[in-house]
Amino acid sequence: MVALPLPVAAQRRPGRPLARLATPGLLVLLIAVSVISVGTGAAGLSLSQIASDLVSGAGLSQRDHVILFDIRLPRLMIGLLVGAGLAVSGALMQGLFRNPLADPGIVGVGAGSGLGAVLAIVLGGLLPAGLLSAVGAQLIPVAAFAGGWVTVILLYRVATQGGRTSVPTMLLAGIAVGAFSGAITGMLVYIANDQQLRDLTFWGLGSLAGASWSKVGSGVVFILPVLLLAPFLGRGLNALALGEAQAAHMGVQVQLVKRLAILAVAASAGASVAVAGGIGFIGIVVPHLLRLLTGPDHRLLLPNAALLGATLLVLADMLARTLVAPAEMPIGIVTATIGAPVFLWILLRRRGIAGF
Amino acid sequence: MLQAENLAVSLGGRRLLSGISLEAGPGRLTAIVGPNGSGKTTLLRAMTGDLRYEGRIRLNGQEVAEAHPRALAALRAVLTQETQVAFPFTVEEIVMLGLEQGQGGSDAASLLAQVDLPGFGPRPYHELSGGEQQRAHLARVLGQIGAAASAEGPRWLFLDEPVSSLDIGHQLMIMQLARNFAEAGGGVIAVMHDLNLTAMFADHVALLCKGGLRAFGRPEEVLTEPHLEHAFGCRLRINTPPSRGVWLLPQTASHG
Repeated sequence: MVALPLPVAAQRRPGRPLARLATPGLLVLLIAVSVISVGTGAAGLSLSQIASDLVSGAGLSQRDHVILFDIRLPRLMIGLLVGAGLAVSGALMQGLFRNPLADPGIVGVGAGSGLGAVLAIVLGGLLPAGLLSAVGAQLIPVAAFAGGWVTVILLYRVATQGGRTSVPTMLLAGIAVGAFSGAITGMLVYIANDQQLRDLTFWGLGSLAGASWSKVGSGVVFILPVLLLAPFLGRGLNALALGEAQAAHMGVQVQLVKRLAILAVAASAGASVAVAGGIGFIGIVVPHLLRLLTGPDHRLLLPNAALLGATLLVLADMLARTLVAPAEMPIGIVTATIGAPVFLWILLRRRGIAGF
Repeated sequence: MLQAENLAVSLGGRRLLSGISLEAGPGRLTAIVGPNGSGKTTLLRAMTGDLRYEGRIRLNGQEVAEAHPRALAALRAVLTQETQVAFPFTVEEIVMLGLEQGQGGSDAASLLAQVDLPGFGPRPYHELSGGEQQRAHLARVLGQIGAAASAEGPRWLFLDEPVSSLDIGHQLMIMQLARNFAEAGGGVIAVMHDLNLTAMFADHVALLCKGGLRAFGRPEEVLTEPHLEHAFGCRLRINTPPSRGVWLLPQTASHG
């Protein structure tokens, strides 16, 4: 009889008692937070009203129906996609760079994506009309993706030599990329008009307030495929944790895994920046918490990161909407307030461990 | 059969190896020895497909540079001199990385017992000593390669200084493990520092000197006073013990 391979989550893992429970537990948490989030806000919509409106289309007044469908639901979808996208791109990048401190926001991929987005906002009108209409509403996400892609490749080339990534070089290169993006963005601010300036301000802070179904569309096109395909890179990234030569010895097509991971990081981090601006620390905090909980196996880490990232961002958005109601706080403030101390805590824990 | 023909390796415009031709058969432990910088690791890395080379290297008849990584991984496993693990894996998870390559036939617990790490599975890899980490990687490598021979032919172990961070008891144990693999029909290529261990365990020895092959043959043909003095620049006295191998004792340094 041939033994069928067990799903990764169901395998026995000595020393990891929570590994089997993590995925279902996180899924329940995600659904609960999503439901609460849809019911929370300035207009009090009860869950039973929402449920009957979704089922029969007749549980809410016309005004509340618009709030639900044009504001709350797209915002929830963006929160889920961006949160999952940021956490997965963080986990992928950490696997690629073989370091738990790599994060698209910290090493300048967010800045590179932001620069792409800003270029598209300010200079997009200069593109030939035919090209512009062909790309349409996806111009900004495409530009953000391109900016992120160039940045990850640049960082990898600069920081990696002979299969080893120098973390100080990576971080310093990220600072250089961030400074360069900031300088170009500053120049563009001078030539931007009032509407463009408003759009630019949005990138700096990070917010889900501008959520719309067209932005959900960008997320579905750029982030969803990454979430679904990333776990297939898990085995390769696990082997890569021992080094590029060692991964190749174990039969992994190292160059292919690296290229796919770079594309995936650029797509999901770029699209996240394009639709929600600069939201930091989700990409570093989520994978770190999950490694403590269930270990570093990327086949578990990547799907779980998508679930926990989505949950935490929807939760942070709920805080951003309600803490200073009726006003709203940029979500980047919430994630940075919580994320930055956690990042410092990770640094303290890692002091003295080889590789940093 | 592992065949190297007129092998040369250059890195960054510098010639590291040239004119190497040798054959290593299955069922044997072939040691690569030589002074620091003589090209031992470079030769091993060319044979495992890590480095571009000129000339030919064929493993079971297949040109190494042209083989698919997955096909090579089924044919040979490699223990590198040091391996830095990026994330907090447990020892068992490290071994599983090798087992999941699918040669089958074993499990992590018995592999760990083979390298004298019984019960170490749930322990964090980073809390092990250097020698224990090296043995955990050997268990991973053994898990990857599985049996020493299969219907398609012999399988191969490439070991880069497998015992350099081990105490003498574990040195003997790991060398015996490598010998057992060879005696079961597999091929073992090992870069070695310790000439006494080489004499005890190797069937054939390749002595490298300044990027070239100085001598290749049985230990008693290669580990001779003239060869060693030429390669290492120091005088050694060679005693032959009643059992297997030779004993090398440092005498006077000719360049002291």
